[in-house]
Amino acid sequence: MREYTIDAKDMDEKTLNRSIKEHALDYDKLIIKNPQSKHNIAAGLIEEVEIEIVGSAGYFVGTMVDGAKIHITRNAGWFAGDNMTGGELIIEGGSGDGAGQGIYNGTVVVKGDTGSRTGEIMKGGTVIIGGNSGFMTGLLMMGGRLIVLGDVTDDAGESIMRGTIYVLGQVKSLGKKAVLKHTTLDDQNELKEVLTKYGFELSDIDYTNFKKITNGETKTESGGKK
Amino acid sequence: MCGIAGVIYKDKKTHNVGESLTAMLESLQHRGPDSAGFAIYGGLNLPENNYQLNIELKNKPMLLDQLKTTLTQISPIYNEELIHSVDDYDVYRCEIHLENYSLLKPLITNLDKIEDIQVINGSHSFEMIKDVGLVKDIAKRYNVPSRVGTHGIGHTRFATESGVDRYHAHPYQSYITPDITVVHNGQITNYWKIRDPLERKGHKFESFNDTECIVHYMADKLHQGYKLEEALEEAVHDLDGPFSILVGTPNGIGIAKDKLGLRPGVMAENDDVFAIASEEMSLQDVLDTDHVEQIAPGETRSYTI
Amino acid sequence: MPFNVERRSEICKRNNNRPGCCWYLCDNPKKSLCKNCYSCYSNCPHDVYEIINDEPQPVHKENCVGCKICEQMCPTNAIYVTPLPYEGRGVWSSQSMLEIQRKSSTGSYKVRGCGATRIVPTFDDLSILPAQVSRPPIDSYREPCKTEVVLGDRFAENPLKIDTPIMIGAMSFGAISKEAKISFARGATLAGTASNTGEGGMLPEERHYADKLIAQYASGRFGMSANYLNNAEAVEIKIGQGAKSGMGGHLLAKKVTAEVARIRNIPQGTDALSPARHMDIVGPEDLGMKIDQLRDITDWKVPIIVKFTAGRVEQDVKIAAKAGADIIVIDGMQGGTGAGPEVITEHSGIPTIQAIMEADTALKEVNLRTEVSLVAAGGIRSGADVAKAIALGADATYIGTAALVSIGCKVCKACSKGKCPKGIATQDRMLRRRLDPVRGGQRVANYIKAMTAEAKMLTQQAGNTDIQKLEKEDLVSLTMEASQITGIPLVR
Repeated sequence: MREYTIDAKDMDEKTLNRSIKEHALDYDKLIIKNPQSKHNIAAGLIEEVEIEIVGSAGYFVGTMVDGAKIHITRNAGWFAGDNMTGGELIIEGGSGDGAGQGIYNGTVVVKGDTGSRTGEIMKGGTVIIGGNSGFMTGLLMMGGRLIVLGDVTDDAGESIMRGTIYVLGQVKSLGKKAVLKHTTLDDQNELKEVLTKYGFELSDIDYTNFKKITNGETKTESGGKK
Repeated sequence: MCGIAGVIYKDKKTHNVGESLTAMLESLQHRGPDSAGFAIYGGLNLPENNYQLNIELKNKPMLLDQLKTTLTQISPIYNEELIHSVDDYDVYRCEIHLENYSLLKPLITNLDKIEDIQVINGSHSFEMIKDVGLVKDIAKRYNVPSRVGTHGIGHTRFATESGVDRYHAHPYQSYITPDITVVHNGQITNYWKIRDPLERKGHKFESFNDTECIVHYMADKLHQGYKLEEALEEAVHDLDGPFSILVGTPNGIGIAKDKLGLRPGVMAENDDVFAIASEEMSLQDVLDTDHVEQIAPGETRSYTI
Repeated sequence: MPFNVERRSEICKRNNNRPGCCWYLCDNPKKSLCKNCYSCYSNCPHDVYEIINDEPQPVHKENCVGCKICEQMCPTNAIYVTPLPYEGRGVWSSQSMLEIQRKSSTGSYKVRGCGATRIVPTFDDLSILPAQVSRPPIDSYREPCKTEVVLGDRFAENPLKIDTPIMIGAMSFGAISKEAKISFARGATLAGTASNTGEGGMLPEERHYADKLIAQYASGRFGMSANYLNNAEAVEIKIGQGAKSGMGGHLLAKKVTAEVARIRNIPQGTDALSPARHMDIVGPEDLGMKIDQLRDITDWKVPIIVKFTAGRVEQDVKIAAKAGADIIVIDGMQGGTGAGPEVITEHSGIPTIQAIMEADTALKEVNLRTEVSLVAAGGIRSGADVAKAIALGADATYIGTAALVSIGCKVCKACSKGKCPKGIATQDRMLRRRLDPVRGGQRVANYIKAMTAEAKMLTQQAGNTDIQKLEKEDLVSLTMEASQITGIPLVR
């Protein structure tokens, strides 16, 4: 495996991203040191490369990446993995609001807690939150699955259209159009498969304790149209 | 509109708060290029009823003398200093003595009547430094990194609906109760419904900036006897629009975030220090921790020493 | 139902051996019907007609939206569609009363297409001062006049270079048909200007035919990916549009056909919701960070455009300019939409002419007028409007509704029903056949070229040799209102 280390210490975002895009063509793995919570790291990267960010990333880390595998050893700012269309983003610590916002495909894993509006307007893919998630988790979700191992607070699944939110902990309150259901055996097997893959070790009892939040309407709303 | 930062040392002793806040605000520079400011508490150590004044004046002949003549009619002047700011403006800072606190605001109002003079603030227990431009330039101009204190708040501003000048830079101060400052990231959308009742109580507004409205609101609540924590809860209930605010008082820092959580705020602490900022990159300048806490929508927090 | 539909049976000759509906490829090619002309019945997508005793009769006049397709297609001119007359009840017009009745029975607000149609000061209230001897006019027929514009050369490595200051504004695939999108792409290319994807993703055909294409980045983020943005000549962040400021969109699940779903990259049969605002743009510094983010994704190559509805123009424009936008679009209240609540369309926003003035002044105040390009939109119909918009301070213009009209739109304001009789604002396979994208593209190009020629004439007649050189001093106001709001002196 060919590795390349980029020291981001004195780089601005433009230089850092240009360096990432340039070296992604020739190397299999890029190690980014001293990320200093810079924003937009690896924005719009479409090479299938591994990226290790040693430290914390700022806002919009991995936005619109397609295929890269990004690993962050500490925390991420708001909107981690925004609009990802493929690949993997794994955050060892926590993240700010809007983790996994608008993703189409791929997986975003936040091992710690996350802020509000996790997985908003997501259309596909998987978002896994190891800790708790805040206000309006899964706002306007249009597809995909969002898994929260901790608790979710108020208005979970606000205006959810499609897709599923799985919650292991407490659900403080549900948003409009959202309903809380029991998981089926199929759901539990699916959860087991994906969670095991990303290194979460849960007991069998835990899997039966998952609840799911989906759209509760039988037909779609007809209000303002386009 | 902007980046906010606050830091408080738990041991109640003085530390290099100026240096910490400068580093924190430099990390938040991208959130606001227009102006920046600091309120550093606990390092001024003024005798009772002594006040520090920061006065902006145009660089023209005789104006400074005129200002000093007016001042000396009321109080002797100590520790004066003239700092050149941008364009043809200077900032004159000095220390004065008054009989009691209630004379401070009338004095400021009187000084403001002189043409080309604007009093930026008058304080007893904290030092206010605010100016237009980038954080690093302002820090250098006023030698901020050398300032010490127990705690402080800071701000870097992206102007939205009011002017870009020294006076509109944050922090804002209120004279309703002594030494209350506020920095703010966001907008207040029910501005007039907050301002009108305060004006009817006799509080004077100097600008149309929504942060000024918040600082008077907070000061008014504290004046009524609310505790800082209670006043913050009232603020979350009464103020509309997106906001994250930091309130500085002589004893500590208060934090509040709007009900929908539309503006960012993160905090972290260790055994020595509690820090709060708009973004994590700013926290890393003062403490090294993996555990960063997000301020939840509608959450309030106060940290007093 | 503010329309009366009349069919004069004495003129209608159904046995004329000339089946009118076949002018277009007929929607309902039944031999039994074609033999006798049922053009009005067949062409009406809103079920106004019923066949009674073998005669088509306009029974359901309440369904009529006034598109006049029946009148136009009748081979014997036997159909009359006329607006109901004004009947002297002051503000209690039949429209007002009908609207109250409609609200009373349904309990919901009215959704319709198009922008504000009420009377507000427009470009028509301004006139351009001709040059005579104090300054000489330029000969339109022989002497040259520059119309090319370069937009967004502030930070972008590849600014947008167009041959005419008229671009086609954002209309999404989903709201309008594939044929309409292709017409615009082809038309823009033929006219040497840029077309816009709208918020519904990028059609491969659109990309193929459009020489210059602006990719819109809207709050729903449909069909959004790094490839989408990097495949365009500019990226437009839509904060708002003139017709529905601060409102999101809602494309009903039944209109999310397989193709729309594929282009938007959402599951078929899902309502496509766009939130009222970008979830991650809540304040000015957020806009700055968003612009940085899009620049990082597109590697600083293409211009970043920020589009606003005209409201608090001064503040918004200053913020966008300071946040680093290359181009700012300001969309006045006459700017259109495929569907929006009528109450928002008619009762919010400010007129385009005032918005341009305010935006231009704001840019000057922050000393960024020469760096940032300004595009005006909302109610632009002719070369005169374009010339006046530029004289007021814009660098270029967007046309939306006007471009639709050039490919056949009748401004019946019923786009949201999805049954556009011209095959534009519809996804219905049969209705779409009525629009030929090749001919449509040619018409759009002709229209833009004619408009450009008009704008050029006015420029030269004002004594200038470059459209961009028109200035406020070349204008005069014809009405008090226009003078008051723009500061252009009243004609004396």
